Amino acid sequence: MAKENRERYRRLPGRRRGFLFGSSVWVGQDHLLLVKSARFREEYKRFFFRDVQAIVTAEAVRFHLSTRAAAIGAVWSVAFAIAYLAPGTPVAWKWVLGLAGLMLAVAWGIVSAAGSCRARLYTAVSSEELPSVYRRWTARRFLAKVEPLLTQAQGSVEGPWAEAVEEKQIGPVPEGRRGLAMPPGATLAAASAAPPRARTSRTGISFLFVASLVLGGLTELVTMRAAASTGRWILLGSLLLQILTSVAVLVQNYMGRLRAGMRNLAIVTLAANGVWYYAVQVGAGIAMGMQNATAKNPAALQVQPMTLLNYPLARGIAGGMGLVLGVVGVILLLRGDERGNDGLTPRGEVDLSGGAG
Amino acid sequence: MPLPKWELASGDAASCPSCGSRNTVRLFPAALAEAGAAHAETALDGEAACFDHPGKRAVSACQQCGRFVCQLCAVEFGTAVWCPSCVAASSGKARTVHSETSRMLYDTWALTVPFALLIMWPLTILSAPAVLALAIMKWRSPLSLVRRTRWRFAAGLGVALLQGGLWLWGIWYVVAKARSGA
Repeated sequence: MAKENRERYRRLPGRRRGFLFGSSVWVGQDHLLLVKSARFREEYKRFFFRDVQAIVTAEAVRFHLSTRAAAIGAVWSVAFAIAYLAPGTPVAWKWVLGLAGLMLAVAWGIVSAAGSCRARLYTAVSSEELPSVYRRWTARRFLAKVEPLLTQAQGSVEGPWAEAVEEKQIGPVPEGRRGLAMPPGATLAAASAAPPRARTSRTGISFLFVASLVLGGLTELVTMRAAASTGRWILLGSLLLQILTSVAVLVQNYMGRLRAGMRNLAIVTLAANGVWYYAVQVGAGIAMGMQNATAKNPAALQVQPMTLLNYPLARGIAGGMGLVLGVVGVILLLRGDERGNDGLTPRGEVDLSGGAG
Repeated sequence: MPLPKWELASGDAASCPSCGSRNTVRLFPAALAEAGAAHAETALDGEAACFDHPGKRAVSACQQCGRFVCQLCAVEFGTAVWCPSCVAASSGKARTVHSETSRMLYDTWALTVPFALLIMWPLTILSAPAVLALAIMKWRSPLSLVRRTRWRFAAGLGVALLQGGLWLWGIWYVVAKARSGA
């Protein structure tokens, strides 16, 4: 075993907890430690206080589903399923739980769309995104903690610095499009003249995708208590359209024609539909088990898996889910076109010398 | 689209005229410092010279092996200075928190595997002893740079012991049943 010369680290505000990947930033004696974890392995990057040139935060849409949010969603799902399936539950309880779930989903959508950001840290040789700083309030707390440390190590920039950095190269030498960096001697005019690739949320496919979410969600909610055969075809048609348009959105993003926000929405849609499908199977299985326990003739209760999708509750959840995702899609469409330099940071890149967004 | 400089200069923040997103910029003096390459000075007669570059003046000694290093060879890690050979060899103190770029989290393995394999529970007959061996062999291996305790190892060890115990009990029960039936 290697003898460890262990340094004590303190965690800075912000932590990204995903199902497979996570990230956090820690502060040591003279450096910041960026920790990126991939479940069974951690990778470290150090940024010494004296080397940090700039920290930039920019508003951005971040639809990140953390494990904590997923846990809250799971607790809600279980509570809702119990309330709906257990006999004798007051109708008011079902409504309260349903509304609570809707409010949670809407709150998550609003925070993701309007309360999120990207943070990037620059040194002379690197430009590193800080994945753990993805909410604006976290960014404020992060900067409040880090700024005094960097100022203590380097001092502060006095006076108007925007002019001073006009001809400076901030960050690493650019290999391509990414980063704050400007080639030595490059000017503002030259940076502005470089034709950035247009990236937009508005394409025919994205409109179709959002429409499939909104209209599919509304239709499922309206026809929630329609005849089983009708409801099944509406549900399956809507799901099929959502999946097809989601895949088309992913393809368009891969081809560079769509922004990352719409791509993320497509990923969430696919994941949500998958989770919904399995939740329906499990929920219906539990319900049948409970009925079996009390039924005189359990054989009569055998149900084919496809017909489980006919339950009004399942269709209601699918409809609500589609509607919430559709609202997020409408927000993305309304936010309009942007001209970004980098697909990874469509809103986040700030060119001190040249441009942003 | 350029950010309005007057806004940046006054509040370190500016709204993009194109998309309206608000960008906050914190700039530090390192951004304005002139980048200068390290130059090793020529050693004069009688002056200590670099081990690898005999013609260059030594500015420090490697804190690992004691060799003199010039400005070019001095590798700083925090307050310590090492020579390139020690850094490359990753030996002794060079293998400290200052130079590691990744670590395998054996404690996470030990905790996750016993629980994850409950989905395919028959496989726990293999995973339980494997996790026991892993936890015992890697108990003293370095943990994450930013974690402090070995509770994952302990918890994984406990679950693996429980699974192993249940398997042994199950096997004993089946054998005992078979014998009593015979």
